[in-house]
Amino acid sequence: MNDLGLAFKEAIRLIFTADPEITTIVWASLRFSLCSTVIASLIGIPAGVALASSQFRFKKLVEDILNTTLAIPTVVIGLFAYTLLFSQGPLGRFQLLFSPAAIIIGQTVLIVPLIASLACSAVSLVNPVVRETALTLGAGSFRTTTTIAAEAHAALLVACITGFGRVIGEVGISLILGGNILGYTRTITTAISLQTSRGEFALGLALGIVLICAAFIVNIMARRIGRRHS
Amino acid sequence: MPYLMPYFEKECGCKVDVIAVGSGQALKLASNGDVDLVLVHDPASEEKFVADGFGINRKTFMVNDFVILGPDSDPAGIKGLKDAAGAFSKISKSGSPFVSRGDASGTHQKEKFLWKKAGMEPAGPWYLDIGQGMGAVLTMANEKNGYTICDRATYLTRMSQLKLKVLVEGDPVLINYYSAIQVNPQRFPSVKSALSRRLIDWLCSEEGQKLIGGYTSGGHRLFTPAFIPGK
Amino acid sequence: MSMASAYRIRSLTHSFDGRVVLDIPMLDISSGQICAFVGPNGCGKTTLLSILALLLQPVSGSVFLYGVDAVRHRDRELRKKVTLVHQKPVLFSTTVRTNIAYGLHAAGVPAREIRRRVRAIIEETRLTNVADALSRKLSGGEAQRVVLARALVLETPIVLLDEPTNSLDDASRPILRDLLLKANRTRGATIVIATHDTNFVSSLTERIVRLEGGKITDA
Repeated sequence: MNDLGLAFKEAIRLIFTADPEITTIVWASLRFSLCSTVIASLIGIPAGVALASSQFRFKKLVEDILNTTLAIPTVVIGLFAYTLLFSQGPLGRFQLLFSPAAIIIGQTVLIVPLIASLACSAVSLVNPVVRETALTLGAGSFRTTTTIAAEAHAALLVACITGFGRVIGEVGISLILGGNILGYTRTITTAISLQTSRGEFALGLALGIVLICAAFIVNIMARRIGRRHS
Repeated sequence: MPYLMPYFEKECGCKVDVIAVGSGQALKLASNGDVDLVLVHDPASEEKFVADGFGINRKTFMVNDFVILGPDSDPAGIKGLKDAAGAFSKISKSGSPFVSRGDASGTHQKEKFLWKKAGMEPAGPWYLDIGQGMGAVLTMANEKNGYTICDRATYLTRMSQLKLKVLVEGDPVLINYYSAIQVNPQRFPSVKSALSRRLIDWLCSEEGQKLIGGYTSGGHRLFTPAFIPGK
Repeated sequence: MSMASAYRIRSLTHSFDGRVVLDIPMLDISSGQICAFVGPNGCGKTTLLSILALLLQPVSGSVFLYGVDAVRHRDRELRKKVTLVHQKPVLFSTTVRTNIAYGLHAAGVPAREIRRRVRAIIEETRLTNVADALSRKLSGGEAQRVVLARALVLETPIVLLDEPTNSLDDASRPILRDLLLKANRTRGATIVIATHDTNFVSSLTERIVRLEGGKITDA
C-alpha cells in the first residue's frame, strides 16, 4: 500500500511538472484521436444523414447492420486491419503498419459506424414538419437534407464528440496497429497497459489520471451541448 | 519451461506455476514476495537482488547466447563482424531501424550494455523502443526490415516465420547466463523454500542438465547446460 | 376549364389505417379566389391541404393544378406554384431574416432582390424590431408572423394556410388579413384557408366550404 501511495504522489508530480515523457504520450493520443475523429465525422455524418433521409427497400436491414457493427471489439478491428497492412498483406507495400497512420486508419474504422448511427438517430428525431416546410418553401432534396441536418447540428456535434471519447480511450487498435514505439506510436492507453504489467505504477497512474480527466471533459461538453439545444 | 517442468513435477510430486516475464519484472515480483523463485538472465541485477537480501541460493545453471539479427540486405553492413558493440555503432550510423524491448528484461540490459560499450546513447527516429517482449520485437523488426538483438533460443523457435537473419554472433560479450534464485524465506516466511531448493538442485543435477542439453527445436539445440559445482 | 381554375378535384378519397378521412366527389377552386374550409377538428381540412400542397398522395381521385394532373406529375416545378403554412409550423433555428429568405434562396432569386423583398415584408408584418433575432427568442405571435412572412414573401400563385390565426395575437390578425387581401388583389393569388376561426374568414371571403367527417356538407 505504501508503494501505491508513493506511486500516486509521483504520478501527480509527473503531471504538474509536465514531464516530457507524459506530454509526448498525451500529445500523441490527442493527435491520433483528433485526426481519426475528423476523418470519421467527414464520412459518418453525411452517411448517417443520408441514411435517415432516404427511403429504400433495405433501409431497416442497413440500420440493423450498422447497429451491430458498433459491438465489434477493438482488437478484432485491429486484427483485420493488421492482416491488410502488414508486409504480407494486400496493402503491405505502403509500409503502414506500426505507424500513426495505421492507428488513425484503425480508429477511423472503429468510429465511422458509431458516428453514422448517432447522426442517423439525430436526424430521425428532427421534427418531420421541418422537411415538409422546406419542401413547401421550394427546397430541393439536397437543400432539404442540409436544412434538416442543420436543425440537428447540436446532436451531430455530440455524435462527433462521442466518437472522440471512444477512440481516445481505446487500446486494442493502438497496440496492435501502432506497436507502442516510444516517441512515435506510444499512446496513453498502450503506455498504461504495458507499464502496469511491469509494475511501474507512477507513469501508468499519471496517464490514467489524464485520461480520466479527458473523458470527463468530453462527456461534460457533450451533455451541455445536448442540453442547451433541446 | 513447458518442456522441463513436467519432469521435475513428476519426480517431486508437486506443481510448478510458471509466470513468463522479463528478468526485471521477475525480480520485482520476487522482491514483493509474490513468487517462490526466479529463473532470470541479468547477472548485474541478480547480484544486487541477492545483496539486498531478497534472494538466496543463486545458481547459474545454463547459458545461451545473444545474436544480432537483421535483414538479408544488411544496409548497415555488419554481417560477420566479431565485435557486437562495433556492429551497434554501424547500425546507428546507417540510420536503419533498430527495435528495442525497452523493458527491464535481461535482453534489454544486454542491449544497453552494448550501446554503452559503443560509446553512445541510441536516439532518433530509427531507434524503436517498443516496451514489449521478444516476440513483439521480432515481429516489428521483421516488418520494418530492421535490426535487433535477440537470444538465440527465441530466434530459433521463430526462425521459420521471419525474414531476419543472424548477422553477428560469437562475441563473448553476447553470452547469456541463466541463474535460478530462491526468494529468501527469512524475508518472506510464506514462500515454499524447501520445494524451491529442490527445484534448483534438480536443475543443477545430472538429470536436469542432461535434459537442458537435450532440448531442441527444429533440429537446433537452444540451451547449453552450464552448472559448475561450487559456482 | 384551363387557366381559370386553380384546382379541379374529382372523386378524391383518402384514408388512414382503413378509416376514410376524405371523400370529395367534386371541388373547384378558381384562380384568384379566396376559399375557406371550416369544420371541427378531425374533419379532414389538414389532409386536404396536404394534398393540395402536393405533399400527400391521395388514395384515389384526381387533382388538377392549373390543368395539370398533379397526382401523376408530382414534381418540383408544380410544387413551386404552391406554398403552405402548416398548422403547427416550425421555424428554422436561425434568425428571422434568414427564415424569411429561405424560400427565395431556394428559388435562386438574386441577392439584391432577396434583400428588397425580405425588407419589405418585415415591415409589412411589423417584425422590424426582431428582424435579426434568433427564432427561438420570439413570442408566439411574433413567430407566427415570421411563418406567414416566410410563406408570403415567395409570392406564389397559390397560398394555402392551415389554421393561420392559431397563435396570432389580436393585433396581428388584421396584419394577416391585409397581407392576404393585398396578395389576392395585386397579383391575383389564389388563397385557401383551413380554419375554425369563422370570424376571420368571413372578413376575407364569402366562399366558405363546410367540411365534416371528410365530406363537404355545405359549399
